[in-house]
Amino acid sequence: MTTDPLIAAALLGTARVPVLPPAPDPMLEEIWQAIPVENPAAAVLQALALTRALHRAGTTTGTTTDAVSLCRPESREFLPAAAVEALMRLLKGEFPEVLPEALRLALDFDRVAPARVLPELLDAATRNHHLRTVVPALAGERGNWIAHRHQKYSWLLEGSTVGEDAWDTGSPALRVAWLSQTRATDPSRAAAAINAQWSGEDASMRESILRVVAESPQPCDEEWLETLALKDRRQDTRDLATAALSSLSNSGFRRRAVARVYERVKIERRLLKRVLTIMPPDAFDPAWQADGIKEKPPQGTGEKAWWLRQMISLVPLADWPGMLGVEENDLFSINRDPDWQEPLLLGWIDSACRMPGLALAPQFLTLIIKLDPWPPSAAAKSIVMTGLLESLPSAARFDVFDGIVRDLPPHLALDLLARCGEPPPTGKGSGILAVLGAALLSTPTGFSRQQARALAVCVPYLEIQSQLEALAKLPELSSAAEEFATTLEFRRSLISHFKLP
Amino acid sequence: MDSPSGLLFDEVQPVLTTDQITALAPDASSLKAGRDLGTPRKWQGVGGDPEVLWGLAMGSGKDPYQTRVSLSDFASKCSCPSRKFPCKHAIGLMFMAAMTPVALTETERPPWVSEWLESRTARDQKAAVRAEEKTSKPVDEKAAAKRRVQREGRVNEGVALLQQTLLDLTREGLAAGAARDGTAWENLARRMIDAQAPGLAGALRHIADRILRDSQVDTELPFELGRLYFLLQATISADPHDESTRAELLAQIGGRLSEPITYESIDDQWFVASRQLEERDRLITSSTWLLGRKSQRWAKVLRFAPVPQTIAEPWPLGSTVRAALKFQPGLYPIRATGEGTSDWSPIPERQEQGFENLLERFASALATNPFLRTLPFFMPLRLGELSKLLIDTTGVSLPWIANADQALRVECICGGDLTPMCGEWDGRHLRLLSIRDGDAWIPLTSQQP
Repeated sequence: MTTDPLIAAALLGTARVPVLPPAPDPMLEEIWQAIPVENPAAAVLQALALTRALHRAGTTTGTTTDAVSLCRPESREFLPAAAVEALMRLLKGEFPEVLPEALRLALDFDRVAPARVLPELLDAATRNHHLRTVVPALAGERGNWIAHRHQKYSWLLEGSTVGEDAWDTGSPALRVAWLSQTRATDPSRAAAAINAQWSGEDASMRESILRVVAESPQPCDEEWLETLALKDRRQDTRDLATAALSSLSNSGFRRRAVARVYERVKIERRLLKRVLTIMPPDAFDPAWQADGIKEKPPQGTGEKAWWLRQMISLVPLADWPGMLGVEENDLFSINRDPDWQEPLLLGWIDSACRMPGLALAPQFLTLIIKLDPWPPSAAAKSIVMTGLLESLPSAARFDVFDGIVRDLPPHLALDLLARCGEPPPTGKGSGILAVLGAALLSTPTGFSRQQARALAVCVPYLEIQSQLEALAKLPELSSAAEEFATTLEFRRSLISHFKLP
Repeated sequence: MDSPSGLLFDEVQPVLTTDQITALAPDASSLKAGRDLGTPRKWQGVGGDPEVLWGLAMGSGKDPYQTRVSLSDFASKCSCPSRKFPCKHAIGLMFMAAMTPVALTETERPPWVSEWLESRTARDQKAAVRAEEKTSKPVDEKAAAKRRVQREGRVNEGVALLQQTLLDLTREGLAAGAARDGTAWENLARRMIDAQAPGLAGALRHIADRILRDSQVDTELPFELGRLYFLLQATISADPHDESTRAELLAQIGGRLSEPITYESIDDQWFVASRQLEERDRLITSSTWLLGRKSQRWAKVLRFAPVPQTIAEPWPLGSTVRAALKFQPGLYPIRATGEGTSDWSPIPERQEQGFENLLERFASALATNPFLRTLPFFMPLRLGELSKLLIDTTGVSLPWIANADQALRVECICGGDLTPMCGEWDGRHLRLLSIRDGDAWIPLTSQQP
């Protein structure tokens, strides 16, 4: 409540406080006396007008020494104005599929984004983890400075060089940076540090640690992954630990997973065919729970099928040829026991989703392309295939693509290409680009506007002009083809901004 | 200052920027469609000169649409059936001219462009003649006096109603009840519009929009009502006022002077320091602060457009306008009108010395015009660390009010360093409107209504 009697009179009402309070300042004394007081409300309002003017005109400055710290100057040049404008359009939501390419171009150009772009740029990468690899360099010194000041952008610091005390005294982002830095030179020391402090970490820090480690787990990580991370309360952390342990070639976890499956599968000769036979478990072994296998199946699934599926999902597909004594190229062409085929396939698909890098992607893709009907409880076919393709290096990915594209329905092939979101390297991807070209010439094209934009991103730079010329010859463009052409034109203009004069 | 990307004929005025085109778009869908059309693939026979742009837009119809845009005022005409204005084709043509000027290969105007320009010229001439005839026509003094009396009567009724309302509210107390009801103030504002006192309506909407949402509403509401009551008292006072006071009071109420106005004219190069756009009751208002490079005078230029029309801003933010601005009379003349061409001169180096100077200027202005709400400033400032403060070159500070988005952008741009900024001081807070980032002059408020 105010202590100013004039404000109090106005707030309470002159019906309750009918007397004009004295002037608040000697400067107003004289004019205060001239205020007619017959009508208290009018007197108070006039007095308020005078007091307001006094307050407004009499504001004084404050003295402060707490100016914000100074950011280091950028050592690199800023992006050209036209590139900044194009980048801002992307960051504000136009052609969202083109944004990763624009950021890569900016990074390759070795320039820094001007400060006015940073709020949108950092927000975009905060929402989309895939952008985080390129944004720190593009955000420059100013981005680093902002990340130190705003917790929500602290992820930017995770790749920075930090001091030795960062693990013990730094913010979560600086601790992650220390972890990455130390793992590169002395992984055992990093593992020991994690082991020592795991129980004191909060859940999100534990997950952050796992995200760093799961990228390239080392044998020295096995102990804490097995004893601590695998028992974490958070499912995401446990999943990451499982993936990390599965990708360690000789981990106890992986050996147990293989052993559990090894005793239940074998190849039998029946007449002239080889059949992969499966013997499901009869009862649930409580020891399996430690490795993340759950006892209770979801509704509609039998217990044995559920246990079997989970067991198989923990074995990397790359371990199956050795386990069965067959060639990689033969594994998926062997007939499967029809009684237990579904949990086997579901387990394989789950394994491929969890460990796409160990999923024999070229071979497994040929199997799942022809898999019809697709098991309803599995992840979507296009997502599984995308994960497998993304696990391959770009050139190998498009080699595989070219190998399978003839067997794919065009809409699925284009969906996969759109999800890949990058153009094939020179000399690769001719098969899938031919499918794309054919689809554009047909009406309707069979894909949405969003897919059209994503597909436009996959056209190699050198083919943009020829694609546009081909489209220009068409008498009429469908809305998807129109969107495709508009996106291509935007890319062409975008790329031109990143050419040195 | 480096010219921003997307400007046309930057050696031969006028200039055209993507911000200007964006502000012209009647709605978001037109803007998106226009941007998509801003590509040579969708056009034939595209050309332009410093006066006009033209092109044939390839639409879904049998014949392409003839689209033309005048660069002097961004008026456009298109043969498409769209009822939006400007249509997506005109916006697309402007975007193409701004972003891909090399696509404007034609230099000879087609007949349909020349004819349109001629018809516009003829129409302007006719309008000028009509205006001339209107001014030379003997005024029906009796009818004019009658109209004036009617208008004054309505304004007086509005003033009396508002004055009585303020007295009643103050009697009952401003801590609660109708005084804190935004809808009640909005309804009262509508009655002021009916009473032909739009200035008073604006003041009441300021209460509903700003004062009632102010964290210091318990202090600010009484102060604002005191200011308003003082204005009403001065308006109905029997004291004779000089010309400036009469003009100021009329401007505050939103009326018109019946006698001819004497304008103060200042010829200068005006830096376009800030622009704010807002829409209320289907009326778009653009408010631009200009700073005279030589005179160091501030001028506020207001432009209006009823929705769905848009405001064609000939002077891009950050450009410099060569113009003799006419200042409307008042106690502290600041609102101005004028015409001129703009270019991309560097951002002015000469700036206000610091907050002490600003406070001195504000106090003097307030002493001259007690109804004044804000004054603009342009000076290098840096951010305070712990609270929302801006610090000048001498190390003194004033409080700054900003939403989270603006605060972050300013923080990013400043990086802890002194950075030239433009904004307004209202006696309590600084509000930032634009800021320098490298060679670019960046708006900190939305440039779309």
